[in-house]
Amino acid sequence: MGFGLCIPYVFDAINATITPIIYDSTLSISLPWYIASGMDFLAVIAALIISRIVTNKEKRKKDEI
Amino acid sequence: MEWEDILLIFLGTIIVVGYGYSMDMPQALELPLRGEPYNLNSIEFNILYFSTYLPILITDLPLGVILDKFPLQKTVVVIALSSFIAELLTAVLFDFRPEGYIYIVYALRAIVGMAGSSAFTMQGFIMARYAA
Repeated sequence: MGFGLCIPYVFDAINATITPIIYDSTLSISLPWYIASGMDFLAVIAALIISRIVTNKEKRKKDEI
Repeated sequence: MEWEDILLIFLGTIIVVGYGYSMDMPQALELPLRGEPYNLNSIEFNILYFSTYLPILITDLPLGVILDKFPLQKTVVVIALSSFIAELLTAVLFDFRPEGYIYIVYALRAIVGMAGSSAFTMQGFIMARYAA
């Protein structure tokens, strides 16, 4: 649980460091936002896998009953 | 603890990483946002934060009801997808800057804020219910 709560703030710190570097080297404001949407795309994939695992767990629970 | 539980904890972390990465994006881009061609003044700039964090006040109440009424499998995907689409549209709007784009950006930041806050709640729910 602590792991899950801390890691997003690590990425906040990474963003605060990386985003100005990306802007300085490309002078594009939208590129950092595209990178952020890439991160959110990872979240979509994770959500799909979570959905699958939870479905399987629920199914197994029902079978046990 | 089974490998599936460890995977759930890892994935539960990944669903909030996007929000963690993007919540302070305006701060990292403050100088360019306040310069040409965006020219955001102090109020316009700070509304980027205001619009992200204010909706969080009201998000978690309906989320509890949503989690009760709808299956977690669908809710978690919808929340992650809405955050992804909002971020992508924000990037596109900053690229093309149509007239009045900043107001749409505020609305999209509100969606990112609500989805991110919901993702945090979902993360706790997933870990407590399925990975404990």
